Amino acid sequence: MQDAILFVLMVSISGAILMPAFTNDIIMESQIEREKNEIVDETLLVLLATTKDNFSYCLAEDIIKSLFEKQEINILDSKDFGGAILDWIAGRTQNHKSYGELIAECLACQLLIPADKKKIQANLLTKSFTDKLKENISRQLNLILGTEYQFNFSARWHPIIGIPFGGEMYLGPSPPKNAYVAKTWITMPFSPKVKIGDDEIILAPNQLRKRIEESSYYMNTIGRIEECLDSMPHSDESWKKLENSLVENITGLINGFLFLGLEDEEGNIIFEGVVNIVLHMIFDELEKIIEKLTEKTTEKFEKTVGAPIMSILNSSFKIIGEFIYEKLEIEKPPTEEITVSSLITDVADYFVKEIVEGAATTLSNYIENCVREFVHYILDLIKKGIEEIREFEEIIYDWTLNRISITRAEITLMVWGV
Amino acid sequence: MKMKFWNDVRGRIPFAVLGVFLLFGSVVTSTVIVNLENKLAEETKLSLEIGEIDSMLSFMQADLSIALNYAGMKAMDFVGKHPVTKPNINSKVAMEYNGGDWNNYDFENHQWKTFEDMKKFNMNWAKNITRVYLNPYILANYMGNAYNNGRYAINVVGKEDEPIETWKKITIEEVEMKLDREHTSPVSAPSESIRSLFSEPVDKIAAYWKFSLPLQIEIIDLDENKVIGRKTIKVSTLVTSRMPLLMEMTHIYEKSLNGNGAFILTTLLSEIYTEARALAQYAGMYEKIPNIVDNRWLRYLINGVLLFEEFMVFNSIDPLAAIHLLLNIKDFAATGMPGTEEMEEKVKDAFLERSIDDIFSNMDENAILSISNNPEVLSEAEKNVFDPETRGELNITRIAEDILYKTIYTYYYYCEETGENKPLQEFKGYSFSEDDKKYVYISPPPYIYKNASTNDIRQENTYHGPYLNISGKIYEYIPSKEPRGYERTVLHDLNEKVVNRLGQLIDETYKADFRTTVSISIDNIWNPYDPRDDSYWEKASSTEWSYNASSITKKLDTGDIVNQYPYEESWIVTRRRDHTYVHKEPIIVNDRIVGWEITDQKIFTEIWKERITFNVVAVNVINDVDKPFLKKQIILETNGVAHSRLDYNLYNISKDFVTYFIQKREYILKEFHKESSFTSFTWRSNENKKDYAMKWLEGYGGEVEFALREILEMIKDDKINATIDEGYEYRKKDYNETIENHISQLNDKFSRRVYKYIDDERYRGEDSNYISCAARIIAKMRAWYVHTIWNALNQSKKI
Repeated sequence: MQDAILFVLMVSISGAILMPAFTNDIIMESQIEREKNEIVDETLLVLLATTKDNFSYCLAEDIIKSLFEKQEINILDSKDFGGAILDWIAGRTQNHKSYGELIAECLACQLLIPADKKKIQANLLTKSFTDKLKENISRQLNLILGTEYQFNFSARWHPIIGIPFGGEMYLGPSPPKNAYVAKTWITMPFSPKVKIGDDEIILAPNQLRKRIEESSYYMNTIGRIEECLDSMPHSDESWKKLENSLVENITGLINGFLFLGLEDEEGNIIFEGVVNIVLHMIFDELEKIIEKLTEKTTEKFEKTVGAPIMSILNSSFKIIGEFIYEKLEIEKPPTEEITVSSLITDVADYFVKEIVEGAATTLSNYIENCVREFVHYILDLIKKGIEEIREFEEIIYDWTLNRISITRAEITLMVWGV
Repeated sequence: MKMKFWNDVRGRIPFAVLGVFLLFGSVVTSTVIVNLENKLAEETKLSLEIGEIDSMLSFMQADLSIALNYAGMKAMDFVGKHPVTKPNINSKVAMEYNGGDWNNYDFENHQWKTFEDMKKFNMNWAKNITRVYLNPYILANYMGNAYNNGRYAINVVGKEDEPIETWKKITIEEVEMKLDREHTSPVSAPSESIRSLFSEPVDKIAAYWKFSLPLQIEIIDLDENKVIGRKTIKVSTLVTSRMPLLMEMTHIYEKSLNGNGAFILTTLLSEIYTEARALAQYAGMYEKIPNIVDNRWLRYLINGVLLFEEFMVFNSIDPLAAIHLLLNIKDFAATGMPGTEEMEEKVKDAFLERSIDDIFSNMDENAILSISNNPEVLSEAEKNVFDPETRGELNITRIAEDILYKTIYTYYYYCEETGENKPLQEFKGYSFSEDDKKYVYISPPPYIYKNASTNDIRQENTYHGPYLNISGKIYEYIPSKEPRGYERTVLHDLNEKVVNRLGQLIDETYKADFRTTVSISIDNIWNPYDPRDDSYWEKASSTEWSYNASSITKKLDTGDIVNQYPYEESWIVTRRRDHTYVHKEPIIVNDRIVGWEITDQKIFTEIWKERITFNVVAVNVINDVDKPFLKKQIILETNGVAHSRLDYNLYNISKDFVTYFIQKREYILKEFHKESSFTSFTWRSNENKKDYAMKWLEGYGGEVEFALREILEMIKDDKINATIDEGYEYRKKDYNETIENHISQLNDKFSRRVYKYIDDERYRGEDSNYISCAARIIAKMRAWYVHTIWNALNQSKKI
């Protein structure tokens, strides 16, 4: 009897031992994990490479429509005819472009600028482009993923990482924690070759590095670290002094690199600052868009739809300029004096005022926290005994370059099961 | 119990033992299975990591395709705007683009033997431009570990500044497509069978170019900082430029125009129309249709056929070309068909009211306004653009002529109500109203009128409207085959600017100031000695001063001239007088002077000697003329004919100065100078109110005019002009480009001849100085004239 009881007990224990081996679905989970990862990667890849036969949108659609309404133009009484006129004035069709290209172009011309606790899309002309593209991407992703999955798609071109300046696009509901993520970068359409005075620079890591290395702030920073490596501070006060000096120089470096421009030790400008470069890139594109918008504005057309509309269309750049001044709450010059270069200067000044001079706390805190954290990291490394200045050079250079993403936009797709 | 368990001899294995085995077995089995599963899971994880790199590579390829498209678009945009149609056959680079030789090139006709050869060249050129544009994208995003996911980085392998070193790596594949012409609206598209009758048949056409490029990449493990793999990926993209399609279609259009369709259609329509006119004549309309064949309507038909061919090939036509054709409908109908006059009037009214002109021709005025802010060029351009003869052409000869001579433009206007002809010296538009009368713009006289029945021709100096009735005989106005927009009269008089400039140069050249410095040193001598210091000598009397002046160097006399400055002459002026002195000695008594006694009397001669030096320097004198103070016989050559002229240079100025100098010198020499001194005086030629320049330089027929006219003739011979291309009227927003191209053409042609026109060397001698003052003025006027023309061209305002 006891024998039997003992046997039954052992059988039970054996069963318990074998149970995990048979019930464990680790392989299945890995396979599912892999499949889902592949699905999300493939989906993003297919989306970016898919070409759209015809992608149509209207430039300045909202502005023109509201003007049509205000002007009460008889010829536009008929909705169809009004639409046709609108298409004729401002309709744009892109043929056979891939979604990757369309997304990059859309981000490139949004002119997103951070205002106090919000962001504004200053380029009013391409709002319809963004909306239409979102619709198309959503449709395309639903087509690829079917009904089993939900998605969240985001595309961000933030030339200064962490600051909502440039362009962005978000689609889909908030993802759950177990969503599968695919992330990549796409090249922006702007040429990475930019002119600085009479000098040309390609915004490539190696060439940017040279500019950073030639800057006075960088040299001061490295100089301070070298001094420290030669003779280690002995008191808390000395460490504090070193920290403040590094914070000051690295803040100068990052502010110069991002906003104010970098100067060499002789005071020559060697890099105009990311904001300035990006604003020039965007406005160059904007000018092309406006040129296309106005190229059909013949006098005959003026007679058809009315001079006020034509004059407003012809001055669409001024409208954008006024919008920017109003939203950013900066002092507006007389409308006729608004030019591309004055607008770039004023927007760049806004960044300096809001971020460098700290008028907008949230934005300026970003730089300050970033720099202080980084300086603590450097001081920790010094204390840990790293003595090679070369390593610090690499760290500062990497850290500075990691603040920017001028030439490419980040694309993220998150997918999860319904 | 224990013993019983071991000593059980019933031959049964106890359950407990089995249980132990079972337990042991299950542990082993479970361990094996779990290990196996873990191993499989690890492998899955490993493959996930491999998948991560694969996925990075796939994204990289997709993104590089985008960058390749950007670069390709830019390249094709450039090639489309500047296609190579005549290559530089001396260029090695061009030869490379052409495949390494020029076997496919027709040197006689300066063109490629086939369209495909030309296309291949431009394709290779596009590849190279693509390479140049693509390199920065790769440098920025795919080198220097820029593309990484934190664990791995993928870099394109290549030179640091030029990852793709040769365009030959890029391949282009043409993507052919079938043309979809179903969307034509509002008229439905003609069927392909009809199309093929009139244009080259098109089945498929190369609509896009697909670019491909192999790239070597390396995968780097960032943690270990080492290369873990290398491979070659192929990046390809369909470049979304429509340039290839447009190129192909244009080629087909060209073939269609040269093909049978256009010829048959033109012949057919001409035949029908000619037949209709012939029949109309038979139908008693001889008066209205004096001829059967007329170039005007033939021109209209051909243009219509060209547009029709355009429609057949492109499925659409240039609307502005069509409207211009319609505006010229008078060509088609103005020869007397029924209703012609009415139609003609309508078209004319449309022009006169400017309603159509406002829409389509205002760009001409814009072109004028944008062409220059120089009034001379502006005026010239305005005339040219409005002139039917030179419409769209800006000719540098006229600009040059207008700068040189006074010109008068006369525009003729006609009042339909009163028949008045009004010549005006300003252009007042196609029509204007004055005193409630409306004037329309007409060509200048003479006006030819013709009677259609008898072919009698009358030439009138006054415009009488479209018809002239003389004793019941109707004469119809026949517009000139080469109509002119205005009368331009070039006067035999130099333009004010030329005269002013010549005046400035004369003032600057025939001019000299002479500054004379006079230094005077005094010497007072007494003979035998000066008695004034001795109180015993007392002057009794003195004689008058005698005066003597003599030069101790060369000296100038009336009529002399100075050839070379500085000039110096010195004089000694001596004045003498005698003083009679008595010697007085005191009479002393008891140590007291009680009186004076004269003991002696003597004559002392006082000599007053002045050394006066005159030093003359010439200031404000041109320093680039050889021996400027001498008159010279010079040889001037104009239009290859040499003639002699006497140039007085600054001779007369120098002569006048010498006269003045002698007067001034005499005065100074005679002046009694009490002490040594240093003074100066200046003589200025321009204060002399005399004209020293050579009269033969000035005015119409003067040497300057001869020389400038020679330049004008050279410009005429060189035919320095530029023609605005036909498309300029349609490119409303591209005026800047048109005008700049235009100015650039003229500048380019003109700049190559500038030195030839100025020909400064002709007026210089061996020492590189000008041979005379007049030669200097002529040379400088030539330079000014050429530069004024040049500036007139270059003062174009950019809009």
